[in-house]
Amino acid sequence: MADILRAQSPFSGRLPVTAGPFKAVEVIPGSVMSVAPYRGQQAAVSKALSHHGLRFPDAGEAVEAAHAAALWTGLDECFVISDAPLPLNLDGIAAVTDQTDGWGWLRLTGAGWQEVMARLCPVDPALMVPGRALRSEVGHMMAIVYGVTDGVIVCVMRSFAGTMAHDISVALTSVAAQKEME
Amino acid sequence: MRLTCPLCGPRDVREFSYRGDAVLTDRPTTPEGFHDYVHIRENPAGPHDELWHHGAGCGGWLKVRRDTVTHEVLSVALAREARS
Repeated sequence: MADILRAQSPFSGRLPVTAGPFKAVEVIPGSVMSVAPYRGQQAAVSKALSHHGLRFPDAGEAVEAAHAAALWTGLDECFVISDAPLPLNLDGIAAVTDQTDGWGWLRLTGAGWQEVMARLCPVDPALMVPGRALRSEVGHMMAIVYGVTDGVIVCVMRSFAGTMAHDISVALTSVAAQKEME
Repeated sequence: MRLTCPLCGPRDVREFSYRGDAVLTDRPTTPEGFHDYVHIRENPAGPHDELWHHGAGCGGWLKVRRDTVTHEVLSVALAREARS
């Protein structure tokens, strides 16, 4: 019998990459839901999300709970990411789509990771701190960027994963080589 | 050039696309008004209201008042809020 089909993650075979102090590894959230409140329904959406310790984030904000987070992803839109799918109960108050397979997530860590991000993204890396989620370009791709305690998570559309892995590899290898020479 | 997006803060111009004169948000209600709406534009040397799309950021449409002589950006607002 033919080999059965196997699901591959977006960065499968492309990450991790390491050089010097830097490491880029893939992160695979259990569930990613795009939540876009209908006009005037943002407070109602926040109330529904409060059952999971979340609320609709302000612009540029990441609201984190124990096993879930709500990341601001643009005008009137956020991503609810969680270890397992959550019953969101947003019928009639928000447009919700399952994005779990649609985006690739990578975590960049290592002392000086800000220098790597500065090569790729026009936003000041000092703004990439826990509790913040921002939209910008990373390597000319539209991305979601949010801070974690030891680095940063960059999320791009799945179809960009190959380019993203290439760009982050080139940037972190280059910065690591320069640090080596210092 | 930088624009200060009301949602994202100050951002490099590479994240934005110019989308034309802000008169585009005032769609006429009569067929007669459409000729001017589509074809007639002011070309001021000085302050000018224009639309920019923050495509690589929040996705919002912005109404930007910019001095066409000095390129000074005088104000930036979400287009949907600037209309009402």
